[in-house]
Amino acid sequence: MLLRREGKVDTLIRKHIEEVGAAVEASKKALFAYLDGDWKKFRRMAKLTDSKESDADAVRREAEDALSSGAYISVYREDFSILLDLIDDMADGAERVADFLLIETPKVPPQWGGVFKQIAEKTTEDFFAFWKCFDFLYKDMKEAYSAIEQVRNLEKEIDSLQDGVLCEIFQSDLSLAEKVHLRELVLNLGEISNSAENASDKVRGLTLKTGF
Amino acid sequence: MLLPLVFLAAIYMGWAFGANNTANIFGTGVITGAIKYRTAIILCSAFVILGSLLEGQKVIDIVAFSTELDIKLALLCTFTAAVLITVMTYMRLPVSTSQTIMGTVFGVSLYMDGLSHFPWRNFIRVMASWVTAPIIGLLVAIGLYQLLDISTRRIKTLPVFMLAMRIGIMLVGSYAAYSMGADNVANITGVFVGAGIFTPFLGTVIGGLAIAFGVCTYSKPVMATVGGKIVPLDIPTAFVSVLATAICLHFFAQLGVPVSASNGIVGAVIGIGLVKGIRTIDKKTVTRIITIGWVLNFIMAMFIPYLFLLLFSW
Repeated sequence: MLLRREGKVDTLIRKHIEEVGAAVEASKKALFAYLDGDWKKFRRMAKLTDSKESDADAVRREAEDALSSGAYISVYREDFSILLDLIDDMADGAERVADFLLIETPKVPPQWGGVFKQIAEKTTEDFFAFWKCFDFLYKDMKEAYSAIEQVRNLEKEIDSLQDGVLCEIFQSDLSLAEKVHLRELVLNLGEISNSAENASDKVRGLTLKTGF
Repeated sequence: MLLPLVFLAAIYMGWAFGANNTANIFGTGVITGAIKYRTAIILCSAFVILGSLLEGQKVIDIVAFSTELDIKLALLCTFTAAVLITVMTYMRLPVSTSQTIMGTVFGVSLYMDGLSHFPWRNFIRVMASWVTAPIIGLLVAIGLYQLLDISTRRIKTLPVFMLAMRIGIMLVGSYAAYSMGADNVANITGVFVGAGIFTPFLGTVIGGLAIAFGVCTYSKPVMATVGGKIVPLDIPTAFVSVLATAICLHFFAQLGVPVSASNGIVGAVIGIGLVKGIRTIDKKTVTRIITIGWVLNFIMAMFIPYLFLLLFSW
């Protein structure tokens, strides 16, 4: 009975993470379909990304209402609210990528298709690493630190891939407009892993408050 | 004719004490949301009364019988103490009620008995306790913190940790309120027991109820200000510092000497800082507490009644 409200919030946060995960996964598939020229699949995945992002928003609002009803000690309540926002940023990032491809249809030269796919794969991996780190709050807080390290390492790898491909793009013969357009796509892709790192830092903050 | 004034003085003193000291016990718990304000004041009031009734008489002797008091002298002591506490609280300065009331008693004794019959034994006992209380608070806190560290490492999940802290704050706060009642009720009505107006038991009843009245009516605004400056804002540290203070107060109740919650808490918080290797309380705050809340307050409490009697001797 004492943990009833907390149980409800935990369930909603997990549901939110699931919806965000589905948005990130759909966004990756949309990018892959776009790069492979499968326009029909791309449109379907872009629409799915959008829909999952909206679902994630709805669950987030429900979780925030449940939080404000008095779940958790108030010093942690604010942390959970911020954490929800940071997790939601990943869904927003996924939607931005899909919308960017759908609306602006950037021309991605084939020599860089592989790198973009690699970035998208690692981004999804990063999201799941964050999910594992969040889960440790409810299984074993000490283990959360190694999961947080994994999120950070993946984010660094993605940064490195981004820097590498941006160098190549700006040293190429493409027009400035095309270079800037591609740069925007690269940066949009990177936003999801940045949000994953921020969210894992918040998880770290929560564990530090317990003295672990 | 003076009897209504006696009750008024006792209630006022108790009210000021209750309002000022609840923050030291439940301040962090309420501010962090670990415990609701309503729950805190119910627990605090109930356990303060219990502590006063069950063990409050142990400390009354030193307050009541350090010198011979009559009703007028008792009123002088109480009103001086109450005014000093109110002024200090209004100025957001930490104040020790124990030191204030004992200061007034010794001030009256200095006038009435002179240096040759001054209760030096009690004076030294009280001074020694006020010096050792922070040290005991420090040592107990260091031990408790290590123990808490070992215990909390067994807690693996965040929800269980929060539940443990919530329950812990309630239990520890209740014990601290009990100890506060046991050790400090004498500050409220001890002088009237000395003047023969109340029996020791009646003194603990009236004192306990008056403290509870202050807890219930004016502790909330003080929680965020006076008390909040000393008690740390993270739950595990607050848990340890409040428990160390409770043990300190209860220990001195057995010795029959009133000490202040702030005596214990300052020592406890510094002790935790030493264990964690971080600064948990800044030098400016500690300096203000010691110089103004303890030393200056005590000197003023001693010399105001002395000067009053010197000018308007009866």
